[in-house]
Amino acid sequence: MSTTGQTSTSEGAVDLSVSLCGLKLKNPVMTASGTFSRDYARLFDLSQLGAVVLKTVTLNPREGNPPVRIVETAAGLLNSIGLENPGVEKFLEEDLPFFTRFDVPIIMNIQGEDLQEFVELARIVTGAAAHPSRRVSALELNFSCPNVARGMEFAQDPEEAARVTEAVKKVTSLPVIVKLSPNVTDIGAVARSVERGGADAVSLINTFLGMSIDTRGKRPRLSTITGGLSGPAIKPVALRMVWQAAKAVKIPVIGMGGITTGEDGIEFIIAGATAVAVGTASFFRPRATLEVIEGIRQYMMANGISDLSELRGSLAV
Amino acid sequence: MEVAAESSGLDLGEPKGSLGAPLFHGSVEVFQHRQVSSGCFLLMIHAPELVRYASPGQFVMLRCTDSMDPLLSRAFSFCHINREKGTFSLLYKVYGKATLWLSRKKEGETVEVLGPLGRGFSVPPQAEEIVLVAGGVGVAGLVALGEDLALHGRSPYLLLGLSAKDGFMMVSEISSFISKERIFTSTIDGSLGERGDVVMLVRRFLQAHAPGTYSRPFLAVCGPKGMLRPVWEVAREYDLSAQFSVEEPMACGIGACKGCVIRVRKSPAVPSFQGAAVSRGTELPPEFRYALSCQEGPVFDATELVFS
Repeated sequence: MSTTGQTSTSEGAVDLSVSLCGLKLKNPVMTASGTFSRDYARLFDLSQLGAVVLKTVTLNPREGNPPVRIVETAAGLLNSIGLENPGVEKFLEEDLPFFTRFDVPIIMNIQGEDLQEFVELARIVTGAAAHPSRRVSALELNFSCPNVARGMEFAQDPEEAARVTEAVKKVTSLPVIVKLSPNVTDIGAVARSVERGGADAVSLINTFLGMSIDTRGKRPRLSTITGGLSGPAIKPVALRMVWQAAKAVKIPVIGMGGITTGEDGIEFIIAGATAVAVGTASFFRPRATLEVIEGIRQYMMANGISDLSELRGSLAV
Repeated sequence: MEVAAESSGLDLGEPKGSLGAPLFHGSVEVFQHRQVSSGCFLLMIHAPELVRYASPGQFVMLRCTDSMDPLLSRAFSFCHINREKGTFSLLYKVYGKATLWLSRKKEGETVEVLGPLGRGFSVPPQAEEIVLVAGGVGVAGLVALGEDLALHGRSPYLLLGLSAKDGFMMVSEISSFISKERIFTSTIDGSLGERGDVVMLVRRFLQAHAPGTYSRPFLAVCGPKGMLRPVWEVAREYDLSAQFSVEEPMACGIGACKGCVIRVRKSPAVPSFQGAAVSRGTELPPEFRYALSCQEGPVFDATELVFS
């Protein structure tokens, strides 16, 4: 597979590269936060990806929720992991250097319990990024994880979300991507609000709030009763929201939600996304990210599209 | 898999989470598939690259659909591992959509598989007596261990608990590496062997082997969740060293989703979150932590396991 993002066809070169917040990505495909691990590097070269977005890191370590944390649903997955992570200091020291060895932009996803924590996290990560083994290309602010006590509130309050974005922007020179929750009535309004707050891009969607009940014991299957739904089941709703958000803002949109194939990715790009992220698909198709890249390439070649800017937001309405 | 064959003892399983230990993912061929007992099948797969690094107690993730239903792959413990022939087998019971789909796979067809995954059994060098404790189809996870032990001149015992006689599987396979007088069987309904469950078998075995005639028997345990705790309690009572293969719902099997955690006791050698402030709202007492059963397990030492 080409790592330069370019393939020659009889019609000419096909260029998968995209520009995002000043970052040059060799293709528009990234991993979705919380869906990747080191072991994928034993299956393929991570340098082939457009970018790697890592699991949410918090200021202090989090043990995560008690089991049961995952439940399979029809074409979907409910999760209530609870942001298990070793905390920012340990992560920067032990986990990040594994990923920065690859020739691919690394995006760190962070979540704070309040504005102060977000700012503190941004400061710490930005400071560490000066060191080559901890070079982070961008920050993704997790306003939208439904599985922690506070996680929903920022994403559901556009003004608060804008305030936190603005405060983070003040302490970092890294591009700031804001990840949005779909559990809102007006995704365009939230997107506009964080754009006003200075976000360099928005990424959406995070998971939908859902649940599953064991009818034998009449108990919820997840330990936290509700959890986040992801996977192919959510794609139509995710796509609609990405389309709405892309219309509402000028900043780039990273679209995700149920993407399994290149064709899925193309749908999101037509809807207005500059880049796409693949999450749950990597669980049941370990090389899903590569398959989506290749599918996008095939679509471009088959349709005479040499550059993704021709396709972006080209929905015919 | 490196086996320390010298006098330092056997090391049949090591953490395979680091970059460098090859991981295989791809379509592989089914070269044999047969029913071995009521509702139980033995699936034999040819995959030399995968088997080369496989060790007893590890598992594979197998895709059990042509579509998105069911969405997730399923975890299966290695049953046989044959590095010479480049084959391995999985022993499974049909109980849902995924296993039903799998049971229809014919010889010559392919399945998509990821592995070898997880941490397998590692028999302590000082163990003089090794007892394999199997609950039903859990015997699958112990076959490869038994065969490896036999290859290195060790003769384990096998305690096998089943619900009924027609659940008795793989007679010829098992007796090829364990002699009949070292196999003890029980059935809940008494239709074969002793009447009772595998926990009863373990107690009877330990009582029959008077203390002092062996030192520190080592138990390797594999079976349904409900049997793990009672066996663990017996091991604790007799102060035996033991390793248990746990079974937790898995989405990815590869350490990404963090869905397969179990509570474990923190070991002083492997501190986790030690000295760091832990966020409010945690349910875990400070001496416990969560471990991924797909990376640190599925085999855990008895001293790590926690039963509420």
